[in-house]
Amino acid sequence: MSAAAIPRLNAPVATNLAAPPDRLWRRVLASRRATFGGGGLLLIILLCFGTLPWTWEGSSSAVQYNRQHDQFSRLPPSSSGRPADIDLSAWNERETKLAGYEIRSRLGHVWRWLGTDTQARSLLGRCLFGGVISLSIGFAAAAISVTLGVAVGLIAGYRGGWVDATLMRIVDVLYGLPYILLVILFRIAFEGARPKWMSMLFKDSSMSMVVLFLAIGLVSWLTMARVVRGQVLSLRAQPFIEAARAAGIPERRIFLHHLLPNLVGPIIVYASLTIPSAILQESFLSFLGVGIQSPLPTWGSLASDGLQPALNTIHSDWWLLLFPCTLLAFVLLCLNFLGDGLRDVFDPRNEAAKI
Amino acid sequence: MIRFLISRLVQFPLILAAIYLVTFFMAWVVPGDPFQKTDKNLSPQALMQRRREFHAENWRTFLVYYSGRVVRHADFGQSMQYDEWSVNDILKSALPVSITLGLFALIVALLGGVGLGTVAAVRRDGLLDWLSLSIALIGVSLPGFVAAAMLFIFFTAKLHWPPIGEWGHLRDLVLPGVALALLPMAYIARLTRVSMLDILGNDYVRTARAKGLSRGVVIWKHALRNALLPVLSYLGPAAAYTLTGSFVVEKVFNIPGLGQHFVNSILNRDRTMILGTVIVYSFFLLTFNLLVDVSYAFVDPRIDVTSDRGDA
Amino acid sequence: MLRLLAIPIFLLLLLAGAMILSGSAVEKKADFTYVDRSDVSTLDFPKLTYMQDIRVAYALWEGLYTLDPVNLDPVDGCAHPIEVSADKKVYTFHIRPEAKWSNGDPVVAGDFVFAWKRMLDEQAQYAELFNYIEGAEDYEAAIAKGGKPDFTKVGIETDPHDPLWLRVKLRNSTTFFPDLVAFAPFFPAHEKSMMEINPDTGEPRINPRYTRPPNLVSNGPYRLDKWDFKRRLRMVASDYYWDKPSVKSRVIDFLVIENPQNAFEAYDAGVVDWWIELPCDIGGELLRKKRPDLHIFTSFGTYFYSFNCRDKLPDGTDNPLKKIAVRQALSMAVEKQFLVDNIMRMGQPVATDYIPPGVFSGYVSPKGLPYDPDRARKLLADAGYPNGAGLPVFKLNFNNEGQHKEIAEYLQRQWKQNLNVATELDGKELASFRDQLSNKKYSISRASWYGDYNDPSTFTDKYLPGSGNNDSDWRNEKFAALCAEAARETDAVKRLRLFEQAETILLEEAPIMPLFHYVNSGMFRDNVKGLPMNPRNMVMLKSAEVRKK
Repeated sequence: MSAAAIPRLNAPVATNLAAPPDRLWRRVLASRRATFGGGGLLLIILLCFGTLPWTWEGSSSAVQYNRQHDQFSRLPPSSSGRPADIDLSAWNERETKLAGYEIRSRLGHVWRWLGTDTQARSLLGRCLFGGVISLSIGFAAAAISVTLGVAVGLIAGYRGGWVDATLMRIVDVLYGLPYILLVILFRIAFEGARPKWMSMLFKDSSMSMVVLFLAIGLVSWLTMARVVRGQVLSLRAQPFIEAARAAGIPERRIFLHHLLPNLVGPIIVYASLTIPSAILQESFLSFLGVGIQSPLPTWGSLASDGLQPALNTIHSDWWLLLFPCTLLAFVLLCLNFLGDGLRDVFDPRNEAAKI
Repeated sequence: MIRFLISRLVQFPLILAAIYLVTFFMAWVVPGDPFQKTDKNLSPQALMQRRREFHAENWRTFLVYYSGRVVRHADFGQSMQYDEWSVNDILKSALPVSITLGLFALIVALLGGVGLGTVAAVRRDGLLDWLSLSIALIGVSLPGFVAAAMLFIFFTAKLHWPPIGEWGHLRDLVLPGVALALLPMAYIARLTRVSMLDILGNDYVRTARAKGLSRGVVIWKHALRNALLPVLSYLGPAAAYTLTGSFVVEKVFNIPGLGQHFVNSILNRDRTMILGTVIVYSFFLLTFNLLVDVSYAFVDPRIDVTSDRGDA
Repeated sequence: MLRLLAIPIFLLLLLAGAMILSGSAVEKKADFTYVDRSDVSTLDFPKLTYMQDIRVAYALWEGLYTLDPVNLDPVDGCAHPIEVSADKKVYTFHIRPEAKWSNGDPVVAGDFVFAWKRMLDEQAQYAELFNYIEGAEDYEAAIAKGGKPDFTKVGIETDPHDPLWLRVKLRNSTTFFPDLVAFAPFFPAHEKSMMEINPDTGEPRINPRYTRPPNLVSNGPYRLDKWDFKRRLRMVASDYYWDKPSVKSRVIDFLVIENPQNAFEAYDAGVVDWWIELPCDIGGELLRKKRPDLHIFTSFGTYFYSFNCRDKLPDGTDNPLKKIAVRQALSMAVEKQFLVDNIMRMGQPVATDYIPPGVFSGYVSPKGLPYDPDRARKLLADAGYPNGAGLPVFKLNFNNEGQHKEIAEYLQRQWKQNLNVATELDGKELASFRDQLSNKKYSISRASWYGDYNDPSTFTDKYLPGSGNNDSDWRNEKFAALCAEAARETDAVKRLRLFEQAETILLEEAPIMPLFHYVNSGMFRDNVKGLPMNPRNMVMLKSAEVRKK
């Protein structure tokens, strides 16, 4: 949401970690929070991606994300296909139509489970498909930010000297810019002048997704860079690295075999915290009207579209906000739990923090 | 310490200048015309004339004119969107509002966050831990615009508290303040909990406990101070963020603060305003980070601030 | 430990200080309070375009003619009597000696000449309204070329011996000239209070803050007492207005509440007496609840989609939209009722015509293209694109605010379903959207138009070949000839017939696809009087009042 979205954590992260992988796994599984978070996340991922054959663009199913169901806009959620349970006394014509409305689909009336949106599309389909996009943006943006952050942090920390000074001053300057400004400007600038190579690589319709996660990824690597640099600095001063140097082990080998493995912990922890903030940032951009290109949905854009009709004191179409928001909040909660849990796992000193 | 302060103070304007330049070029390259404000098109000549008024014929004239003004008079010039108002006028009207709200939110976030975090750490694994953690996590799991809008609907619209009216009453601070505090409060709670747990496991705390000191005294006297150090370093950016206003909270609660201008100036391509808001934000951020570094020495004299805190 | 407490205490002290600085003291409620859709963006005449600005301008200033508060017909304003020559080409104004500026200065002819010259010199948005005056168009053209033309050649005369005498000569007899003179661009300006010395150059210039209190001197029923940026405007009845008895409320507040839900709560709580331009979500629900204090009425605007009619699309490929049949096919393949019922929801009438019916009395709107998917498919096939084959993927240009996104999504589905024409949505924020539309860097774009004055030319002028607002770049000689003929025609009824023919051509050639006509909306309770409901949604605030029950 802002510069504050990623805290400048003085994270008590491991500096000396070389636990064998199987023990790590056991610890991850033993951490209740990590398992809860990871399990929940996996569940949602399976649900959203598993239903893709029905919800994606080319499907003819009733829950296809952009399929309009005649005139049945703003139908409340219902598990029944029968029209009798719908309070449509105001619009008799609509009621009769619904009685005659048959959906040729093996899914029956599943499309109505979460109600329909203002344009008579199945909210269930949109939520599921929106999840695919939200999660993809979150993961892709996090991947960019992690790659960039780790690269800059490693180089700065390891090289030191003027390279470090220059890179860190650049980070300082970017850090001083309001996050909102950066991301909106990136978003608008990419949109306005799409580089040729981008149009060649991506289809136009998926373009807006690429632009979005590039914009988010390119602004959220700063904290990662600082964290990694700090870790490298403190590692470099550790006796075992100095010993390796003294033993004449080549730089590259020290780098790959001694430094990197010890950085995996903090990187994983921060990456798992970057994903939820990227998803949140996407929702904020949707709220500002510079989010994903419609008709593609994301949880954020569904929530911001549902805000007005749902939070309306005169009459509330509550389902338009409740379902996308619940999904969004649940996934963010899972990701945060996962991140916290992983932090506990990767920080052997901090036995107490494990729940 | 003195040398550290001096070097930071020398860097300060340099970084600010770099930020100004970066912002300027970004604001310049974004497509869209700040003077084309309605669906009715201005003639090319009229557009040119408006550009001339703002010294915006090309990027060089614009940069030279405005950076000169900013350096000499601390004057950001007229806003391109709001004809009658200079950027300084707008800052003068909006910034105090944002600062008031932001300070309130900061206090709420600090007290609430530290409280929740401490309780969570002390009653580890207990119901209170999970409860306080969940409260904290809701703050980071809901989009800000949903949380703020829900607060508004439930309290102001349904319960009529506080009664709606013009901005200016003390009571008007409460709801938007809480909405604004949610996010930093959540982070502070988590930071406090983690570092508190870390410290409670330390020998000196156990020793103090063994000495027969009561639990409360140990937590208050020994643990809390050290546990708050990470919170302190987070306070820098958090303060800059809350004090310069939030777009969402201002929009939902109709507050005439500065946050809306961060977003609107970009959407309107109001280049003078973009520069003004960014410089204010950066100034706040740099200042608070400096203050935080200095206050480290104040809270815990053992810490050597002059070393580059890489992991901050 | 106490050191730690120092931080919150320090913050609390700061808070107390900031409170004092930020508080705008809460004042007594005004006699009449209203909320418009957004803050006033400017009150400087040459830049005035938004409705909320113009509504305030009508309260602060008054032209030679003014509008009758009830039926909005032009009546004598700060000039009386007004002599009109038999051929209706020469207007002689005698400014009322009792007409005064809000600082007590008399209103003189020079104030009008100064203001009008400024409109032309600054190439204001509404400068083209002056073209009806003799010599004004040449003057503007010379200004546009960077010249310094002679203002005395423009048909505006003053008398050195009589400061209250002003004469205007028109090119043709213009039936709606009194309407124009009553309109905001023709207001006078008080030169003395506007000038300052430019600190950069040392030369006199117009103070950019001249419209802000206490600088602003105006000649209308109200003076501007306070303008708190993004918070409130307070207008107080002028002590020097010549027609004080017609001013019903002494103090009027314009509150800035940009979030519609807040505006509604403020209205419902009785803080606000009048709320203008409701958004669809709240307005639609209120309409369904049949709220008696919701008022919806015809508007002066149309929502449509614009087709790019140039030879090439922005990417340099051939433009199929150049073919009339393709545009017609696209126009006829959209069922518009769904939009109005499910998305707009405030009873907007479906449009097949461009000029909103019923806003010009006596004007009979042409039929336009109906919804007929079968014929549309046939047209498309005849044009060489059977079942959409061979057409490029058109991009729909629109901005993401409000309902535009939903409308674009619906159009995309309709065209796919009825014509098998694939389109791609290209939603942007407002500034980028405008950039594409006005520079014609689009294929198909959302657009809308509101009329300004009481004559069909306020709509048809947009599609003249040389017009800067012809966003479709559609050129039709017959259309232009009909409009030119109408401009010369003195018979009011014949003019309407000419405009009807012109609109028929426009709709037949379909450079635009009308979707629906806007509606005006407002909320006010029974005891609020003096708010007439007219298509332009123009209100003389001096007649607005809240009657005590």
